[in-house]
Amino acid sequence: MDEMSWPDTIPSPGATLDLGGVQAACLAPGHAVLVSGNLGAALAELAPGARMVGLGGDIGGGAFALRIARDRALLVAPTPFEIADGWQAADYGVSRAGDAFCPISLVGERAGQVIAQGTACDLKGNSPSAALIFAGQFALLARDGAAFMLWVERPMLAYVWDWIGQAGKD
Amino acid sequence: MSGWRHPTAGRVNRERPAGFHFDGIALTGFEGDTLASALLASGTRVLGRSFKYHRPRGLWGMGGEEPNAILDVTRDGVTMPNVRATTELLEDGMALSSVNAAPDAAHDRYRLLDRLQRFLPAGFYYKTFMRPGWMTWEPMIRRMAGLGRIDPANCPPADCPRINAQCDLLIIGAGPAGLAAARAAARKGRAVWLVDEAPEPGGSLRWRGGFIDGADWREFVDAVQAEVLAAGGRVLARTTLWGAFDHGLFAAWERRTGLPDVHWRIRAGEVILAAGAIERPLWFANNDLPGVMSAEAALHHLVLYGAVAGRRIVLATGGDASYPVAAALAEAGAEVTLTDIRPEGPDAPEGVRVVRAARLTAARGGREVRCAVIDGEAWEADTVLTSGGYTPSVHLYCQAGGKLDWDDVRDALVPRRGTAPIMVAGAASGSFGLSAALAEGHAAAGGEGPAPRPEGDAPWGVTPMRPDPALPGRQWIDLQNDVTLKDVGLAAREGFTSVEHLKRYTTLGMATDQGRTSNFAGLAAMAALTARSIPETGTTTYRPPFTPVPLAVIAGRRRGALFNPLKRLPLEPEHRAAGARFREYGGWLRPAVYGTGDESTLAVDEARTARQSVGIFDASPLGKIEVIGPGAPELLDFANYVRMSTLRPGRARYGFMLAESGVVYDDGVVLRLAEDRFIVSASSSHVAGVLLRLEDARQDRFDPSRVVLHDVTAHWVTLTVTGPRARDLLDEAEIAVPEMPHMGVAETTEAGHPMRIARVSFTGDLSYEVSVPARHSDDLRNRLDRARGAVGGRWIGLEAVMILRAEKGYILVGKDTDGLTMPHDLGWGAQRERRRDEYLGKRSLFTPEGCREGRRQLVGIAVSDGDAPLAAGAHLVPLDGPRRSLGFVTSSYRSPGLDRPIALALLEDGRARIGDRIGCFHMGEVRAAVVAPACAFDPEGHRLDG
Repeated sequence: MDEMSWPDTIPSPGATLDLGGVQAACLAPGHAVLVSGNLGAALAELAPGARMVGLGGDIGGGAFALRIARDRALLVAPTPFEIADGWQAADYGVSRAGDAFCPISLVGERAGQVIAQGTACDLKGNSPSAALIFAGQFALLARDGAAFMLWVERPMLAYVWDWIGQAGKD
Repeated sequence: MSGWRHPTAGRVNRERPAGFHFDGIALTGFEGDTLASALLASGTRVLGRSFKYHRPRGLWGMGGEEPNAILDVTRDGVTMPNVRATTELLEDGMALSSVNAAPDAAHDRYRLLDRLQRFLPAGFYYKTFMRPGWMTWEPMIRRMAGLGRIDPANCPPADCPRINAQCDLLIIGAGPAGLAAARAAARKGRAVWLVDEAPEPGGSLRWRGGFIDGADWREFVDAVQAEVLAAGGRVLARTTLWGAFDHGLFAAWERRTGLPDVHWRIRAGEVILAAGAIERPLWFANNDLPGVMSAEAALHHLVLYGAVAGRRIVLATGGDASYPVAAALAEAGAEVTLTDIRPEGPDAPEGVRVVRAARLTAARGGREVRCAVIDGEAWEADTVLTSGGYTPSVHLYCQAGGKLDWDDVRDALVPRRGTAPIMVAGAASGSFGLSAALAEGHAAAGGEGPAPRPEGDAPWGVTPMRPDPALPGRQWIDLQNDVTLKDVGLAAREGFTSVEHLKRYTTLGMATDQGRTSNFAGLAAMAALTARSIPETGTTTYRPPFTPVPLAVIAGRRRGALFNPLKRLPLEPEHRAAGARFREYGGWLRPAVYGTGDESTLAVDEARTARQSVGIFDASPLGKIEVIGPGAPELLDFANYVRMSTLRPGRARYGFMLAESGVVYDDGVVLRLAEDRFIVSASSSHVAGVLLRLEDARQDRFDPSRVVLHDVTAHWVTLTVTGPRARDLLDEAEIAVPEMPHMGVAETTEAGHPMRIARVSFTGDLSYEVSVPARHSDDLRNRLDRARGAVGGRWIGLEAVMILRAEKGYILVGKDTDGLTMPHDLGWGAQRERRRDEYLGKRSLFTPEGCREGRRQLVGIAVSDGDAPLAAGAHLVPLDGPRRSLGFVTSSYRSPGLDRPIALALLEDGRARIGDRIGCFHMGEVRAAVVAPACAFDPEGHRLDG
C-alpha cells in the first residue's frame, strides 16, 4: 500500500501563503547553534549583545537567543559562528543547528487567531522559554515587531505549513 | 393537534416564513423559530417513539434537557442525526424525521412492543438473550432500538477551528446571575468571557421578563454586554460549555450560522458557574404522553416564539413560580386549570381556575393527552403542564471535582462551597429567586456597590414532590431511555441499590440528555425504596460532555493529512523524482522502494543489487543526539547497557538502551568524536524517547553543568552507501574518505562545509554513512547519483534495507523484540555478567523474571517446507505433542543473497534449540522449519571490509 495522501509540497524559503487577514512566509533558516550550559558565557563569547528571548519576546535586529530551557537556547545570527562543535572552556556545549529549524513568519490582523489555534500557551504569560507545542509539534515562538515568528523542526515544516494553510482559512 | 401559533406573541420574524417537512408532512414556521417551537406551533404532537417500548413521545422541554424531541435533520440532501429540536434553529427547506420509528412516528410498526411491556422490564435482555447467543439477537435489537440513522453522505469537512483562549473570568450562563457577575467584573476592568447556549443573553429573563434597576430587562442585558465588550471581554452566544477538565481547562462548542462551528479551549483565572436550574417533571401514570410538558417550557415557547402548548391546559404544580405561567397562557387564550398540591398558594391569576390541595395522578389518551385525572376525577384536557421544583445545573461544578450537599429548603442538591475551583451563583447554587440570583452573581464577581435589583421578586417556594410507588399505572422516570418507577423498584429488589448500579442496570440517566430530568427522580425513588435519605443514596458521576457535541467539532482540523503528521526528508522531492514510493517508517515518510511494479519484487531486486555492487539509501532519520561535556562518558555508561566510556575518539560502538524494566528500549551506535563529545545514533523512531531518557538521567543522577544534550537529527542529512563497491562509489563521487576501520568515524570538510563519515553497517556489507548539513544535501545526493552512473548500483528503499539487515540477523527494536525482550535474550549476555557498575535497567535483569529458564530468545528460522517466506507473526509450535505457542516469527523475507526464505523469531530457549525442527502455525496450517542462528548471511563478517 502506498501512503501518498500527504501533500507533496515541502515549502522552501520564500514560499508564502496569503490567507486574507494573515500572511505566512517561510524564511531562510540562517545560521544557528544550539548552546547549553553556561548560557551567559555562551552569549558573551558567540554573540555579544544578543538578547535572550522568551515566549512571544521580540527578537529585534542582529543576533538573538531563543531560550528553550533553563540552560539551553538556540542562538541565531546573521553570520556563521566561528566556533567548533563541542564542549567549550567556559562550560557550555555547542552544536551546529542551522538546518534543524525553519522559521515561519505570520503577520496580519488574524495572525493571533492562527497562533491561538496552534497553542494553548498564553503569550502574555511572560514565559522565559520560547519553547511550546504548536499544532501538536515542538516549536519556538517569538515576535519580530508585528510579526509572529515560529521556528519549527525541519522535518515537520511541511505539516505545520499545511496546518497554517488550513487554520488561516476561517 | 393541540399546539397553536398565537397571532402576535413571540419574537419570531413573521415576515419570513420558513417551510419545512416533518416525517414527509409540509409545515411552515418562521425565521427565529427553533425546530421545537415550529413543531409545537404547527400542532404536531408525536415527534418520535420511545427507545424501548416505542411509545409515542412529544415535546417536553426547552433546551438541552429535552429527552424526546430528537430528530434527524436533512439540509441540502445531507442528514445530521439526533439533533435536539429545542436547540436547533429552523431553516427554510429543512426536512425533519422522527427517530426510532418505522416508517414514521405516527405509524410506527413497532408500537406493539408496548403491549409486551410486562415481559420487557429493566435488564430483561441480560436474562433473555442468552440463547442461541447475543450475537444472534444484537442486530435485530439494534434495528428496532436506538436513535437516528447515520447518513453515509454526511462527511463534514474538517474545517472546525479549535481555538485556545485565556480570560480573567469565565462566566458560564448569561442569565440574571451571570449578567450581574459580568457587570460587576467588567466594572472592575476584568476581561470577562460570558458564555451561553441560547441565541442571546438573558436566560430566564427572556421569557419571564421583568424590570431591573428600574429599566426593562433588555436594557439591562444590553448595558451589561456593552460593559463587557468595553472592558476587553467577549460574549459568546449559541455556545455550550460542555466540559470542565483538569488544570482549569474548559471546552465550549460555538455554533455559527454560515461558518464552521468553533471548538473553544478556555483557560480562565476564575470561573463563575451561573448555569441556572432545570424544572423537574411530576410523576403520575402515563406522564410520558405527548402533550405532557414542562410548565416553564410552555412559557418559554409562548413568549419567545408565540407557540402555545395547547388550548385546554391543566397545570399541575407545587410551586409559586407556576402561577405566572398559568396567567400568561390564559392571557394568550388557552383555557387553564392550575392544580396546586398545596392547600395555600398565591391568588388565582385572572382567567385561571385554581384547584388547591389537588393531586394529579394520571394522564389519559391514546397517542396524546385527552384528559388529566386529578384526585380520581377525569378532567378533559389536551395538555398537561407540570412543575415539580428545580434541579440546579451543577454538572460542570461536579465535572471539576465539586461535591454536593442536600438542601431541605430548596429540595435540591446544591454545590458544596470550596470543593471545586468554581464559584456558583444563582439558580445553579439553589438561589431560585431573581433578586437572590442577581445578588449572588454580583457578589461572586466581587461587585462593588449595590447589586442589580429587580422590581418585585418572583416567588419560587415549592413543596417537595416525589414519585409515588402506590400510584397505579406506569410512571416514567427517564423518558429518553424508557425507565419507569417500577424498573427502579426491580433494581432495588435485585440488589442494585447503589445509584451507580441502578444507572447501569436500568440505563437511567445514560441517554443523550444526561439524565437532566431523570436522575433526581431515580435517586429519590431509590432512597425511598431503601429507606435512606437522598444524601445517603448519593449521586452518579458527572462526566463531559454536558451535551452531545458533534465529533467533527471535537476532531477539528486534525483529520486527513493533518491527523497523523509525519516527518519529511529534506531530499523527499529528489526521491520522488527518482521514482520512490513512500511509506511511513517510525514516524517518517521514507522511500519504501523505487520504481513501478510489484513492491516485493522491487525490494528483492534492490537488495540483490546492494549485495552485488552498491546501494544508496537515505538514513537521515537516524538519531543524532550530541552528548557533550566532561560528564558525557559517565552519563552514557549509565544510560547504555554496553559501556561507552572505553570507546576511543574516532570510533563507534553498537549497544542498547534499556528501560528500567530491563527490556530493550532501543539499539544503535554511539560515535565518539572527542573525549567529551559523543553522538548517540538512536533508531529513527526512538530519537525522542532516547533523548528523554538521557535527559532524565542527566538531570536526576549527574551534574547537569558537566554534560549537555543536543538533538541535531534534523540538522543533518545522512546518505548511506552500502555494498562491496561502496568505496568505489565514494571515490568516483570525489568524496575524500579517510582511512578508517569498521566502526570508525571521522569529521571532515567537503567543499567548505562540514561532513561526517562513519563506517557503520546495518547491512553486513561495507558501508559508509555520509552526513552533511541539510542545506548541502542536494550536492551530496547529486554527486553520489552521478557516481552511481559510473560505478553501477542503485537507490534502495527501506524494504530492501529490511531484507539486508534480516539476512544478517540485525534486529529492529519493536519488530524483532517485544515488551519482554532483554539483551541476553538477543545473545548479549556478557555485559550483564561482567558489568559491576550501575546502569539503567540493570537490577531488572537479575530479577526472577530476568533469570528464568525458557525466556524467548532471538533465533533464525530456516524453512524446510516449501519455498515461500513464512508469515511474520506466525506462531512457532512443536511438531509433535500438544500444540502450544513457543514463540513467533518477527521478520520474514526472501533472501536474494541466499536465494531462499529467511526469518527471525523469538523462541523459548531458542539458542538451545538451534538445529531442531519446529512447526510454524499460521491460518490453520503448520509448516515445518528448522531453528537456525539469527545470522543467515556471511556469519564470519568478511563482507564488512568489502
